[in-house]
Amino acid sequence: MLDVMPIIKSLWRNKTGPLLIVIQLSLTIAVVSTALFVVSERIAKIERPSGMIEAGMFKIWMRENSPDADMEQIAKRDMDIIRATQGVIDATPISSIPVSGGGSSTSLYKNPEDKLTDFPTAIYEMTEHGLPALGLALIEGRNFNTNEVIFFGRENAPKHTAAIITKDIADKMFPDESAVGKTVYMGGLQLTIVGIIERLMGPWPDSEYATSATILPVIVKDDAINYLVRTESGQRDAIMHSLLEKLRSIDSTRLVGDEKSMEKIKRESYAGDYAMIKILSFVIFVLIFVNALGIFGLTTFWVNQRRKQIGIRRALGSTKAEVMRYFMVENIVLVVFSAVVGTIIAYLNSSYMARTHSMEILPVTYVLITILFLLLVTIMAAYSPIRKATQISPVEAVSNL
Amino acid sequence: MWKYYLRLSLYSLRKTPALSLLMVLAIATGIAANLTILTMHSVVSSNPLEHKNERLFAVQLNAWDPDREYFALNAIPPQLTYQDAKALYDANVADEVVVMRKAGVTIQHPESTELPSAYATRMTTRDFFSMFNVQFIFGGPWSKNADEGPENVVVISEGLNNKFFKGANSLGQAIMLDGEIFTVTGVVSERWQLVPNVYDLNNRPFEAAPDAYLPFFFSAAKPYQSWGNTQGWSDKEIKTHVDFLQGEDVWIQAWVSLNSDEKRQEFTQFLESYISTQKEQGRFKRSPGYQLNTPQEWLNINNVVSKDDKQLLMISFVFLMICLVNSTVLMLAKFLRKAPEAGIRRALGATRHSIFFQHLTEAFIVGAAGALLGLLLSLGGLAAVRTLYSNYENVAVFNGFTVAAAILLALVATLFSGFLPAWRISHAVPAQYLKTR
Repeated sequence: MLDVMPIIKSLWRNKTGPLLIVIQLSLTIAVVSTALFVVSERIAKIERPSGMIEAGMFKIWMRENSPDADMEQIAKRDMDIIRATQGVIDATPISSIPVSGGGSSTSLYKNPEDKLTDFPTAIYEMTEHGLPALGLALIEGRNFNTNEVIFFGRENAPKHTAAIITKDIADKMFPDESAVGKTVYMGGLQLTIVGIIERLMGPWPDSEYATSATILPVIVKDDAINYLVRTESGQRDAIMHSLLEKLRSIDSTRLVGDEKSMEKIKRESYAGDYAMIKILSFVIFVLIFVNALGIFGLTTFWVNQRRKQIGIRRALGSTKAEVMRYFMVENIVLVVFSAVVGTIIAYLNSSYMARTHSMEILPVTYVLITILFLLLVTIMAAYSPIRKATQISPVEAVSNL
Repeated sequence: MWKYYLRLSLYSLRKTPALSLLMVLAIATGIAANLTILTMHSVVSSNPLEHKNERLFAVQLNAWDPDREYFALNAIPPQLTYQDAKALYDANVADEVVVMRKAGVTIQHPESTELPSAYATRMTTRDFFSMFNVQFIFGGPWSKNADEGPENVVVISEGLNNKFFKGANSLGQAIMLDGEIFTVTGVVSERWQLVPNVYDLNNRPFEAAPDAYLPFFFSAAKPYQSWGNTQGWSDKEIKTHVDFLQGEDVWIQAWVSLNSDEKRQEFTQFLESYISTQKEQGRFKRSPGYQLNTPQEWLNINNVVSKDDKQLLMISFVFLMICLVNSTVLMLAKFLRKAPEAGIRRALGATRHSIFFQHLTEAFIVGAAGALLGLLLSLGGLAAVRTLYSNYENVAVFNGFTVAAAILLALVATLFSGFLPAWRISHAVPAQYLKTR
């Protein structure tokens, strides 16, 4: 009733052009749906909450050059200066920075003898100011007490300490009971879990264990350490630079630098993902554009080719709407064919990538969205040439004979 | 004859400026995207040590946790413990042996009052310079004795030499490294840069060459700030630097060059006997106990070409194909619209052959213009890629490969997008078009 069969037959008679369009559209559907999926995956990855309140946060790296400097005193003195600064919410010395790409990790054990049941986790060393400085949400237990915080030299490492772990690892280690108060093991170190936080990302966003983290209140006295500072929003950069000057002026022999906002740290860590998002978005945009131009060009051509036929049809009583419908249906038929072929190509590629590169299988929604969108673009691109077709006067059918 | 075709083609293209532009743009976009990704890929997937691929080997020793295999790469740690690295060096079996690590060292000019800052420093044995073909602008590597001493000698980069000595020959000059005086024995040319830097793929395979180099065995004397990876599995407590050196932490990269089959055999025999003596002391419980990798194998094991790179490469080719098909469709439409003209020419005696080549010429002009524009656009594309990936300064650069690929793509584009339309029109029946006139 929509004249689909005659349209298909007529397309088949002049098949070179339509066939090429189907190739173009189906490859586009395959690429765009795959690209859309990758982009949305990367956006979801970047937007995962880190568990921290990142606004107003920055870090400074510090290294003491004199061999007999006492890191404990230096860190405490610097912390007093930083916390006394107007606009600073809180600050902590910290062994490594979440999501930064560099840090340390280890495994926790419920039973030190059972080496095969391990729970991999990122390790952060910070003081009792860590929770407020990072803005972490404590959901069970308590924060560290001041007397639990120990600065230690490598030669007299503690044997026992308190620990705060993320909900993620608490649920894995103690699925049926509360982890608070439990003792777990980390190499030779015995940990008593005093609190559980909602969430904290490890240093490596690509890791399988990105959301397993353990916080220890014991800080090793090396010659270098990071300070993590959270300020009132809007004052971050000003405070960062004034603190840098202040910390340098106290002691000009040490290195104070590598200052970075959490925003920048995250941007650098996810640079590859941002690049993929931008490149693929560009690909999607250009492909849609190229296709729209192709459809526009081809429809214009078809209409011009068939001016006489259109004239005859109009002379035999076809309305403008019927002419419009004919060409629209023709384009829609092409998109439908392309949708079938494109879906097949997309899934062949997806299953190949899944097998060889362990990627996720393309969800069907992305293919459907792409097809619908491309259909819309096709209709829009074809509209103006088709409208011109409807303007063809029935006189043309006879004038040229 | 081809001049006549050229004239006809230019005339025909000028008659439909909008359509011609669309075709050129379609091809240019496809080629630009493809060239950008292809250039990036050619650099990312290159092996700068190709010419030595048969002689150089990254050494992996498997003294890892008896309870579980190493968690990444080929299930063998990519780095060595200090005791194994030292044994490898002391054995003196290979033609060249490099043991090294990356450290952050504070470097200052002794008379400068500037605030100190830390620089990326490679602590290595001297064979590094010959093994990786380091180019010097002044001086050269330090002596073998300086390796073993270790003596307070340092090789600096041209950048550092410019900063501290204003580019002058600084041989014999003194600089402060972590508070100690070192003597400059060489300045490395700015032009020396392995891309990717095969010798250390642990962190960022495309980062710049080091700022300074000093003898590796200073690492034994005191802990330097590590800017590389340190991985461990043992529970044994590390209280002192000596504990660390004797422990099972891996943090040292090792390379050997073995210039003959005999050397290779000798070296594997050494490794096997070393591992078996170590086994007696309860180490090396995993198998295989060691692995030697050529630079190419090392690049593969470390996945320098990422999943993203591969996917982008594939997408860029499909992208090009879509653009070419699009241009084909437009060209077909255009040629068929001109069919009456071709019909008249055929009727006046032009052969199918000449109609075909005339139209192919037109397609070639479009293809060449598209490739040229695409080449220009790819400069922009590469600049964009450089801003997207912070450490791709050395990767996303226009090179001879890009130009060669552009020429090839232009030919392919022409054939691909022009052949079919030209063939179609040259096989159209002239009478059909003459009749309607």
